[in-house]
Amino acid sequence: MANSYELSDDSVVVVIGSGAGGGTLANELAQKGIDVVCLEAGGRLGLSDIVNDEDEMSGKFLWFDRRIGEGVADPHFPVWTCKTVGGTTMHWTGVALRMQEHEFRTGAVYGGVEGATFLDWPLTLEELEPYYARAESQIGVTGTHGMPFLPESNNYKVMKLGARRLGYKQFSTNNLGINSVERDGRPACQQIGFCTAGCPIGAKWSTAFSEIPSAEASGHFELRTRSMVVRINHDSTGRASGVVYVDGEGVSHEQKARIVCVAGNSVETPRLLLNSESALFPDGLANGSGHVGRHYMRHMAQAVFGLMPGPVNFHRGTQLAGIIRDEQINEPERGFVGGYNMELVQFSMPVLAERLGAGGWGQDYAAVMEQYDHFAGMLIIGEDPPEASNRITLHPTEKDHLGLPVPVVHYDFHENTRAMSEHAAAAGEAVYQAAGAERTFRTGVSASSAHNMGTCRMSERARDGVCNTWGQSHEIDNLFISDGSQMTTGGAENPTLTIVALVIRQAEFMARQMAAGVL
Amino acid sequence: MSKTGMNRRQFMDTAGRTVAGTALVLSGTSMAAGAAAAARSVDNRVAETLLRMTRLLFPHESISNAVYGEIVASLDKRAGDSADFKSLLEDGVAALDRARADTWLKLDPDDQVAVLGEQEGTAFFKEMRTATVRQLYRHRELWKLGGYEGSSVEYGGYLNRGFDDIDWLPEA
Repeated sequence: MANSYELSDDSVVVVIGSGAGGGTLANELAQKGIDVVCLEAGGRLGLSDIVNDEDEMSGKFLWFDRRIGEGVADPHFPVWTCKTVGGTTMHWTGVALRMQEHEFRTGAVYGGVEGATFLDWPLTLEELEPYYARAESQIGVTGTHGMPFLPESNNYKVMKLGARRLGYKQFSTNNLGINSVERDGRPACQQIGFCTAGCPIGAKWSTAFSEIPSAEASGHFELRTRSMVVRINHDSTGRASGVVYVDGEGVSHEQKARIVCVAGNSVETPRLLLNSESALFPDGLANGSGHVGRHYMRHMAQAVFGLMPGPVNFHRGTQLAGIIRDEQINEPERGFVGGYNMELVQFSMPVLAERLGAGGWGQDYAAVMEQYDHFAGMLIIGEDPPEASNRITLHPTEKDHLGLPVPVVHYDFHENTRAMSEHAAAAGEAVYQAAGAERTFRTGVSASSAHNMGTCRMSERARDGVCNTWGQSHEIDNLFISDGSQMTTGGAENPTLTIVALVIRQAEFMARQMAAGVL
Repeated sequence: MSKTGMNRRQFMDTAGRTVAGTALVLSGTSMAAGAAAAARSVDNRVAETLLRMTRLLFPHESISNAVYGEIVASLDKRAGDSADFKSLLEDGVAALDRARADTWLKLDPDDQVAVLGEQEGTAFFKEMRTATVRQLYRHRELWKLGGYEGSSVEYGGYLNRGFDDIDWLPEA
């Protein structure tokens, strides 16, 4: 039974955002008997609202509030995330990978990379492993804890043939948060092929259909939708005291809080802290170090296609059900630090037409598109170096529909990313050539990013970041970063599993501290 | 087929083709008459030029003029909503017409494509290319041509409808 808390109730934990971080954290706390108010900026979709129409679903769940991109970021739509209950778990592809041991120690392992701000996490893989296991079990990840891998699709079979012939060893249909068997009240995957438009049968995990309903059933949780948090307030000692939010009717409210957890994804989280500046925090809340908004990381992400001599029909089936992991290692002899994963991908005809060739047109382009059903494809995800100048800031004059400064997303490629991108594209094309492709294509790295991390990063020392090993901000004990913003580095892996593992661990810490009367 | 575009015979074949059930009626003398007749904001000559341009941007011989005409109709609607956009289209067509001794529509198809190539960096070209690629490959006729099958949940997905039926791949 869903609860209802008073605005003046300062005993509640306020969680901002209901996605992989916020939704999971809220449920973890609620299951422990801790009262949570979760404020979600977007509306709520049910399974019946999900249709196999990418345009229609984009309209229903993407974050379209104004953002300004600079550098190589798309000027009008620099970031591809969601505004809906469940956050970007409504849109995600389901890829659920653990980061590698060396990716937590990039300061030590990669050495000094000029212009990059690599730093060791205040956390090791070993410490996170039990939480990765919990996260995999909770989500239901194929190839882990007894959940079978998804079966091999046509697109995967092409990739596998190429991988084998090149001598790659580590390939599978991928670790996916998508049921291969009926589990946890959700059906098995039917190879519908519209994962990123939302899974209409709920086979793909989303907090919207798992954690949020579980939290509501706990009796310790209230979800308020269409509630955009615009400011975090603090008391005279600098402790977070509550949050101001604007509801669906445009009315402002202040919800008091015992603890505030920010999980708005990597643009909104730092933006909220910056917008919460005060006399005590002139550079933004918890920003004495100056790192709020900085070290914004994406992934090197590009698609490579092979035009095969026979039909593949790659649209038939789970979009990212395949992976080659051999290149994920750190091997500076290749000309860059960090590694990349080659993940199966399929696109609808409209999406392929737009992404295939930047600015391409004419006889050849049309002839290639007529062979849509002969396409095989992969998406290559690689580690992106953090840079202090890649950051989220507030526009000095432009305001949004609520009168708040519009966020500016500045992102430039590091040389490392350019070198990695070239190597990865060549490797992807080699896979398809080895499989017998007549032609190969590479799309180049996307200007609008779906993987966004690092803007309120963890650090051992307060001067190097925003929060500690628990995601607890260095400056304010009862203010937590609870999304991918806390990631010190991005690794070569899609971020969702790491975000879920981190907040499961964060919830344990928070509960211990609350029980001890410290928080 | 030359890599710069259709040859004259292919152009004429396409111009003569009509499609049953289309809302746009095509005359025997002008393949663009249908699109032109529907145009409300831009004049007939501009509409004819835009129609020819959409087809040269992404030429599919077996796709009817009606499909390309729908794109021109939506461009025309945008021109009706925005004076700036109307100017963009009209100025863009004027630039095409100035590129050679004759107006663009009177040129040989190879020359028409060459002129488009010269205009590639312009805002007009980029708008036309983006609008055409987005609308064309959302059209069911293109889906049929390319083999894209669209929505699948109502059929139970592809689990039992060929997601793994590839049968021509050699062994590893």
